Amino acid sequence: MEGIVVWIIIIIGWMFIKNVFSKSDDEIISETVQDNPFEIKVKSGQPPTETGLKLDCFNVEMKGMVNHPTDPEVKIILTLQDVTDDETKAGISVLSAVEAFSETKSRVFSWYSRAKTSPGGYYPDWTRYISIPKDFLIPPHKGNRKIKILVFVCDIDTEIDLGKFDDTSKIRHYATKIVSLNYKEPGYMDEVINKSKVEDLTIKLGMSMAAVDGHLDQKELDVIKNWAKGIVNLLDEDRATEKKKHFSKFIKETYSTAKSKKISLSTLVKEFNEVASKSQKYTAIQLLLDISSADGSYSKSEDTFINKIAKTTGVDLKTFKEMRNKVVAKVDKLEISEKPTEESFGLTDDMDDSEKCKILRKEYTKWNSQTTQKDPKRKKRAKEMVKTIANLRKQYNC
Amino acid sequence: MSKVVGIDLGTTFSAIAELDDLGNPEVLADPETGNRITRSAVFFAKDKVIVGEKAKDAIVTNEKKVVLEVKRQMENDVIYSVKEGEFVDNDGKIKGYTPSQISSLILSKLKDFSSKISKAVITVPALFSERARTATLDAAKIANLDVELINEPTAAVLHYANLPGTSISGRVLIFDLGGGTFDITIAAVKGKKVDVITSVGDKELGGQDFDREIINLLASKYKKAKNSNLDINDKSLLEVAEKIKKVLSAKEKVSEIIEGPKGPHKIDISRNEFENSIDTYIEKIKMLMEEALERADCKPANINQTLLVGGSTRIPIITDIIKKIMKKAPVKGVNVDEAVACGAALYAGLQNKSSLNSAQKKAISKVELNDVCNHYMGTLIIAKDPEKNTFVEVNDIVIPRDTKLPCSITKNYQVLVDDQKKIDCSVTQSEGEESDVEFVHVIANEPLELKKGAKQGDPFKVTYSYDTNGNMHCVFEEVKSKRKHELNLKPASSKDLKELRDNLDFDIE
Repeated sequence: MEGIVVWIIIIIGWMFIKNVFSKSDDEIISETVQDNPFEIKVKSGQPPTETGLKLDCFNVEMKGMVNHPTDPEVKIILTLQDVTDDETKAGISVLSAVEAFSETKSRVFSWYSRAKTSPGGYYPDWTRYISIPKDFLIPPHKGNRKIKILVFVCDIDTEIDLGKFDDTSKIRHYATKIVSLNYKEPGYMDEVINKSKVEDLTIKLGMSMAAVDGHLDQKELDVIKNWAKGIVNLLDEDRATEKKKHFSKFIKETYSTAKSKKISLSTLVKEFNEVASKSQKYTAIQLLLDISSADGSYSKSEDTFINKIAKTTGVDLKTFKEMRNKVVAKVDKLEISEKPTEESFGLTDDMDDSEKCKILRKEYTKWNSQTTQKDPKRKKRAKEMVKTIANLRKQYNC
Repeated sequence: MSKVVGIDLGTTFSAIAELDDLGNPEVLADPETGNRITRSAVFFAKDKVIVGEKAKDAIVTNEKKVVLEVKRQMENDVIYSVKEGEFVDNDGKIKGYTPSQISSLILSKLKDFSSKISKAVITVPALFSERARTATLDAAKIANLDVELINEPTAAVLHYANLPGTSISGRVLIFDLGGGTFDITIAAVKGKKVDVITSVGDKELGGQDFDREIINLLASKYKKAKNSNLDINDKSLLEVAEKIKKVLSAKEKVSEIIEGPKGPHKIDISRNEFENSIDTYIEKIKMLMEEALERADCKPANINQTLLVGGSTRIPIITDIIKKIMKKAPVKGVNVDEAVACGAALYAGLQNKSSLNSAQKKAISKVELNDVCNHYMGTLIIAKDPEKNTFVEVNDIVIPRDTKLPCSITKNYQVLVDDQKKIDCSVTQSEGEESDVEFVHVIANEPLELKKGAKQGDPFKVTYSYDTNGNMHCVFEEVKSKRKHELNLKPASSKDLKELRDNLDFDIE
């Protein structure tokens, strides 16, 4: 997160490199407004080289009048709309994955800055405004989207909430541009639409996980049932009854399928990836981890299964490793110490031995500090992990 | 004149030193045995307690009544049960002795080597937890000692820097491998001024671990020859293993007759076998050396000298590893068993100048020590996880590790929701830069009631500071109402002296 903050500071640092040119004579102003309407242009690419960052961005530049008849300062507000269905109508809000690029009270994408101006202030040349990292955008739906970028020059006290202005008469100038975005994850509305389907697929993944060691344990099944119960408890009475009925039937059916080993994992993961959002993927992985540790042990087959799911669902492996570490730290029995998979410590094939050695050393620091835990289970686990790491390092000639 | 002393309270051996009349540290010998280091072993005999080598010898006849390695238990809520012959969880039902009580017996023994002690400095591993430090202070309290603590490698470098006729200067690495703990400190030395840069360590790595590997070797060889299992928990085997380890530091091979369930058997162990058996520990040592260099932002070439401390540095493979990583041999010539106690005595003088004579004052007048914070000190907050897109509890670092002391750092937070009633003020400690709450130690947690009507986003300040005496202060403040709360972190025991001294009415020999 800190990285992102630094990044934002760099991006806006060059925002107003050109001073607003002002004229005081009313007639000249009128001509200037006509000759220099407020415009924006958007280029897809990397942020400016001086930032030293490599991120795919929409680089927004602006030109023309940013004047205000009375105030010495204006607010320049940027919002985004998804206009894939109809470019001529007001679109649907785009959300931000990062708080710094969202409205104060919501996750709707928004950005603003203040600029000094005068009754005749304008930008004579194209001036950089902001670079929007494409990864920060969450449109309503998956796939090829048309995103309208809107930039408004407004009174300094203008407020915006859920994409709506408190008073549209405060808008002095505005300009728009439509850009294309191929969004590979399910959008935020897909998340709502696909919610039930994702829940069912999560249960299926859970059942496959429970069956991975050859038998379905009652404790593992209870974890799945409790997870489903958690969803039911959040619903109103009518919907809860319906959902409960559905889950009960679905869990029963999936149990039989998993028991007879008829669940195709590759098809299941493909289907899951198609509809699950990032946060839903993490929810599923947390369920898998809870199932894996339900019987107090974390086996190699369970570890391999979860690592595989984490890899194929494309979640951040570092975040996954942190989630997994919490489970590993608590279980009574750990069966991965003899031949730990590289994923267990966030090691990937493209790393050379020295990189792997460095990562393992950091893992050592983490687990070594746990060897003095009060909880004997965690203490024992930490000692095992330290030993595993030291042994693994020998393999990489550290 | 009252005296100030330095005490190295070690896992296997302990030592006490004081400043001589000229201000030079001098290790005090046991008046009865003449030994300058005392075995950290305690034997609960019928009507008295025996501390030292004699206590260890009692293992043969009274194994369960002999306590070894108490230092490793200092941070645990355990008691030593003489009936069980081991440390067990302290559930309040079993009779026994806490690690603080047992350590106090060792301290009392050492105390008798001197007289009129007004102040003492006890050394602890650099990464000793707050709980273990508190337990050490408790032990001192029981032994009637007024003490301060200093980190072992810091004490050692202070001693090295003050050795007459030595040329220790620039960046130095202190490699402290004792009986139970391992510490590495990198410090900058200029004259008699020592600036600690960083310390890393492992609280469970030392000569005792090597001894256990030797016992495992003996057991597997005995099993192979006699098809019978040796009791690897038999404490008397520790003595045999220690002897083998010492011989292997000088010779390539050793033979020992081992008594087992199927009679005696002569077992040969080569140095190579021993070194292979401890290779996991060697890897840990390498990792910690790499970590120390990285934390100090330097390469081996930037380190002028590697200084050895602790008896386990006599093992040849240890010096080989140091040579391999640092590209030069470590400094030899100092008594590695006594350096820590001597450094502690110097520090004791430095902290209590009024107890010194003019020659002593003059001798340490140029001595200066600047230490760093050895842990990451943080607090628990609720923050948004951008990856998972949810609010999660995370550990936020307030004072980063290796921050020079004294220091004061303030971080700004916000009230989470409207009408929030209170803030959970927690202070965390971790060795790594950890955001995961599961991997940090919460060393204090107290609530702060907020003023009625608190709004989401209201500013909240957290200030952590270390004063010049190394005491930490943590202040949580609601900015609008100016309500403040300072958490009590003073590393002092919550127990009263009577409770601590309960059932410890022994003569100590």
